[in-house]
Amino acid sequence: MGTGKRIGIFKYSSCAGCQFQLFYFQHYVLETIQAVDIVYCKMLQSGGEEDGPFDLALIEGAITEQWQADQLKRIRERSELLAPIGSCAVCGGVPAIKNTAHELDAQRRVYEDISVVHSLKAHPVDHYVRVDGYVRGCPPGVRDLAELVKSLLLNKTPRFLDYSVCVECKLEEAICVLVAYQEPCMGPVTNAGCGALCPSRGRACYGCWGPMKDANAKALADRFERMGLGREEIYRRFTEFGEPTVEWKPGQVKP
Amino acid sequence: MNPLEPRRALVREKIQENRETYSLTLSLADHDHFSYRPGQFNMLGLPGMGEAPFSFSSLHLERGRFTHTIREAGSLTRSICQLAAGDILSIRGPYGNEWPLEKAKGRHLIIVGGGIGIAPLRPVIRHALGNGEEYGRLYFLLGARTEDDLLFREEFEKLTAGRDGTLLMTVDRGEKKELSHIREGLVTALLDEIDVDPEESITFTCGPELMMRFVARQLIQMGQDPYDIFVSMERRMKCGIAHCGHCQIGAMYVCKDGPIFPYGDIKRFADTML
Amino acid sequence: MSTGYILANDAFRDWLNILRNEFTVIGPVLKKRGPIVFEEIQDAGDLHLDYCSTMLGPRKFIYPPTQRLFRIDNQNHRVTTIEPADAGNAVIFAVRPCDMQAISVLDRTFLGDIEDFYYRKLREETLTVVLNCNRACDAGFCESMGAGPFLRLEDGYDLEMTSMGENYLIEIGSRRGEGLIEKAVHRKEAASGDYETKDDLQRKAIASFTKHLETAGLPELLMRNLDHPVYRETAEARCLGCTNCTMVCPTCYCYDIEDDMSFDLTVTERRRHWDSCQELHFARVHGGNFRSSREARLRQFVTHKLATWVEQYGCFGCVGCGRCMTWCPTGIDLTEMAKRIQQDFETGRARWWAYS
Ligand SMILES: Cc1cc2nc3c(=O)[nH]c(=O)nc-3n(C[C@H](O)[C@H](O)[C@H](O)COP(=O)(O)OP(=O)(O)OC[C@H]3O[C@@H](n4cnc5c(N)ncnc54)[C@H](O)[C@@H]3O)c2cc1C
Ligand code: SF4
Ligand code: SF4
Ligand code: SF4
Ligand code: SF4
Ligand code: FES
Repeated sequence: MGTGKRIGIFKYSSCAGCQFQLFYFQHYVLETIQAVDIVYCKMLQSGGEEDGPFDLALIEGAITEQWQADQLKRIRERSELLAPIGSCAVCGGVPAIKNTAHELDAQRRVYEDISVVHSLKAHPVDHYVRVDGYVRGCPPGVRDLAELVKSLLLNKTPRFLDYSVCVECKLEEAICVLVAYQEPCMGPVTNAGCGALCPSRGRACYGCWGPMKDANAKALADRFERMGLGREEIYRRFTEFGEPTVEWKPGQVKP
Repeated sequence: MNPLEPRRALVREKIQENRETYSLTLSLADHDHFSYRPGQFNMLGLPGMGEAPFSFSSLHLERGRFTHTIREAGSLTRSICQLAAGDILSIRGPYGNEWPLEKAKGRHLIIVGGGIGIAPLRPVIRHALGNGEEYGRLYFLLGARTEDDLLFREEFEKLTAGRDGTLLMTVDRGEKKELSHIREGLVTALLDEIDVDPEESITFTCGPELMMRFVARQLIQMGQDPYDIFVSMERRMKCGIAHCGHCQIGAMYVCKDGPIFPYGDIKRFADTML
Repeated sequence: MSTGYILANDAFRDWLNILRNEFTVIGPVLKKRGPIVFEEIQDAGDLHLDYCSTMLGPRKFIYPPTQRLFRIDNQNHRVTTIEPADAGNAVIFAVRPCDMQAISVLDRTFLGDIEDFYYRKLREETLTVVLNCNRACDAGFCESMGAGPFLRLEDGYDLEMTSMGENYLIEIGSRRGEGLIEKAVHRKEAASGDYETKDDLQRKAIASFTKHLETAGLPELLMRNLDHPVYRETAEARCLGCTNCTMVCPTCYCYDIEDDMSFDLTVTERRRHWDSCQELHFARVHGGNFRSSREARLRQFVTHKLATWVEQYGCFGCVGCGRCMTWCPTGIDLTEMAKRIQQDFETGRARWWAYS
């Protein structure tokens, strides 16, 4: 039973992780039920209807060039719903690491000839356009992706996971590395979805899923400081993923 | 018995009340036993969309039918409002307590409603008008954003015509269009029209919490006992049976101890706008 | 005096292995990276009885973190109840008195006027064997809360064990518990000296507490000082909203219900999972949030445990297990907040913030 819902998938600056997740998703879920039409997805098929209109546009990757920002705004106009998928699109992700440096310095470090490079600071999708939800994760979580697609089919407001990694960590009954070993765990301010992958294996959370809404970054940064972490280290913890996010700003105090 | 297990209800009739509000008349699909009291609510639901609480807007069961008046607020309410006669939805209930009509007997009754909060008051308005001899004076003070939002306006106008009840209505400033007897301003301004002793009256109010706050505070200033003012509270509800914890206001479960509370009692707790 | 039995440590192990033929035997087990977790044991030797408290209490077996409730046919809306998974014939060993008390506290929520179907089922089909605590744990204050260190309950459990060095004193709490102990081969009836030993151990255990909370008048005091600055200060400076506290608390009962529809839109599975008042969405309604501030959410936790619970259920919602302060990443301790208000009251300051 096809519903004829039209989906467009756009990729900007990101690694291939999101795509693998999408392909995985595509094969196991979308194709089997054929509930939606993927009318644009460069990695799946050449051509496609780049100009929409779309019932749902999925955007992966951070925006790092002007043409991307322009296209994104066009997509927004032609889409009923639009959602960033994956940490780069949601909060800047890995590309946003460069944001702590001056853009010109970042260009010089990477390219020999910067005359052909027109990069911008790496910003998430919601820096440029209104979004209808966030599919977090690195790579994006299947649970939230499924919720988004089902919500589209059902015409309901999607409910994404919105609590901290600590919740999943507790369900794993893992020893808390912050409390027990004084490791600078980002779990309390990071959105859940990964299943507490790192903490349940004894490592501090890096925050790769990006900030939890309403995170108290200042309180965690202070806690890190009381544990003996230097300002530089704390700054790095909070800027490893998602430099431009408001939620983590209070933890991102330049040393 | 599994109290979370919903029964099935059938949509018998749907009436559009205004651009975002519909009244759905329902009956149980499987001939189950059912009865309720004004002030109580049901959890209505659709598969995939979840469940939410809705008060009865009908006075009592008529040929096994009852009515809910629902405003489109989110996806569940939107989907419910899109149902048509003959469609099925799921239902649990009735839950909660009732308007203390017994306590009101022999006293003046002041009913203050705002917006969608008028719907849960409709059964008591109808009851009071049908049993006028049991009460002193009746005041129905209703407010809404626009004339269109004044739910059941014509019905109340008809019911009060030539009767003892005083029906007064307001809409927000600048929103009045046609009707001469509707005023502009806040519903609290209507309280000045009350010319009976507040100490001998009882108040039922339902509407935005801020509205109920101003209504209650003004009535107390006018001399009414805070325990004679009854407010109907709205909170997030998942279970309706005092298990899920969501609807707690201090020690009170809105789903079980409420939704109707004496103002003086519920006000002792934090996290309300009262 | 109830009938009790003495089981030597070896006989205790044999008994467990006998029970394993008939029951799923659950108990505290030491895991690889260090945590002690309640799970099914394969051999009596797996049991790690010298433990303080587990991260999640045995609550998880009776009120699991996620539970499937119904399968709903989207066409005709017919609903099928999904029976609780692995219901039946479990015995949980070495439940600490605080955790046993916590289950009886949960009973008041889920087995009150309206009974929860799933909880009732799992509670009935799960036997509980309490192990008394011979010394206080670091963060525990169960003695102050009337929940420990030795069992204080009259009923609602099946057996009570006290470790007395070379052997265990095992006392009967229910008929079903009696059935369990009757399967122990080398049991002998306890003598009055054994009960004296127990009393002695209990006295010693009580004396070992370093953490106390004065509970007399506490609910009233907290309710009169809902605006006390301790909530705002603690919430802003330290509360991360991570919900570790309510996740580990053995009496927290809040849940959320969620529908999951199949991709072909034909069936819905309705589930519930633990929810927490520390989460931003908890008190959200259409168009607003009644606890949008961290202060309000922290106050809800503290006042629920130590004040409003008493009005709701006639007991404290805190059994003094010490988990929440142990696992809070910033060490927020509800007893310290309560004590600050108590101190302010003694010095005449708390009244200023009296709730009008
Ligand atoms: C006692 C009582 C009586 C009421 N009577 C009436 C009445 O007579 N008429 C009327 O119109 N309204 C009434 N209401 C209000 C009505 O219940 C709400 O308008 C309704 O819940 C809105 O639901 P929705 O799904 O349409 O909207 P939304 O608020 O969008 O909610 C969507 C669904 O998702 C859930 N949800 C939303 N956000 C989140 C989140 N972040 N996390 C988890 N879940 C989420 C909600 O609980 C809801 O089930 C009453 C409320 C109460 C408490
Ligand atoms: S280890 Fe990290 S994620 Fe896990 S509970 Fe501790 S702080 Fe939270
Ligand atoms: S565990 Fe601590 S920081 Fe986390 S929500 Fe609870 S009190 Fe706040
Ligand atoms: S509030 Fe804390 S100490 Fe009290 S029972 Fe809960 S987890 Fe244990
Ligand atoms: S309201 Fe909070 S503290 Fe109380 S039971 Fe629920 S989660 Fe626990
Ligand atoms: S709605 Fe669940 S406790 Fe009231």
